[in-house]
Amino acid sequence: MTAIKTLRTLAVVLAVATLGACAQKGVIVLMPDDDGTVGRAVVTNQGGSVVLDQAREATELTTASAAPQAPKVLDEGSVDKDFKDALAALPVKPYSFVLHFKSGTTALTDESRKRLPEILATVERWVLPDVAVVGHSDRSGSSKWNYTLSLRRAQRVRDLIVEIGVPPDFIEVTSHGENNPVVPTADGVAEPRNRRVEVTVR
Amino acid sequence: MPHPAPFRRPAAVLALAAGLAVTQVPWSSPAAASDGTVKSVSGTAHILRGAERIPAQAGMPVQASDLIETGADGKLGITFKDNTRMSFGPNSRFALEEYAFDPKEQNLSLTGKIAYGTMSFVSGQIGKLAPDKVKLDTPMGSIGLRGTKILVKVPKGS
Repeated sequence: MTAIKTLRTLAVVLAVATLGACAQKGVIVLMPDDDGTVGRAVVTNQGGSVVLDQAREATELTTASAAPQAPKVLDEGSVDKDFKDALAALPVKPYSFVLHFKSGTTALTDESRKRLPEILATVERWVLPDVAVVGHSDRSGSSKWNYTLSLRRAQRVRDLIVEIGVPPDFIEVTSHGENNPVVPTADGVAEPRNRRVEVTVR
Repeated sequence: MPHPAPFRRPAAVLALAAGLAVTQVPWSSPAAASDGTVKSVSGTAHILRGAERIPAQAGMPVQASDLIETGADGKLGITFKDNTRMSFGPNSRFALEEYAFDPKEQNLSLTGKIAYGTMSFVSGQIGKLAPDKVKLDTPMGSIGLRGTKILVKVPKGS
């Protein structure tokens, strides 16, 4: 008898616990970026869709078929309550150096050359550094030539930072050619700001 | 030339301490070649890859199709090669479904699904170059992002 009673009690407890779990809501919060700007997120399910475009604006979700709830702005305390741990584990924002070259060559400008020691210093103080050296070009000339020149420039930068002490194992060299501009332009346009090598420590 | 302490990769150091050949460590290849790297971990956290359930350690690579799981005391953070960052609080489960960052071939995508738990997400260059290719799913709805930082909580059992 006692065993059956215990089982019944357990069943009731489990049912209540399950109901409790179902009643819990999903939460999606838009946060300002590190530079303070606020992006935009669209939350969609079978019931409808809502737009978040203000700092700490949030929507709650109950099921896949019930529309996301009307957005409201949360205070910092309630964001912290749910997300303190997740936010504490967020890795440090990657840090980038933009280097420029003498026109048509793989020689760094004097100004960019002076920045190389800063790259080493950043790698040295970074915990678990990965270093991406990525060549970029503008859209004047053929895309194949732009890819090749920007890759050669990236390889040159790799050699220079290895020379001053950045461990080669940490470095990945690639080229994005014309396809990752700072300033988007039409094809064939010369844009010196897009001709660069970006060294990112992450 | 000896390097200062922060240069050392814990994975390799731990492998040596455990008497393992470094080549046996699944993440002994340079992390720079992988899609992402575990940058922070505390408590219990695992990467599920195929049939393997690998205890997560800082420095481990993360790749498309991996599942990330944290225990009751677990936290974990990842930085991807396009600078996207994501992190998870305790009792979380996330599937990295697709990851591609190859601007030269204009091959860009990042999709994943959080089954339960808490996560923070900061979009990177994929979000800048191809915002429509970044998607986070939950069991109750999906999130489209325009270059931004977002927090997601999904209760277990939903």
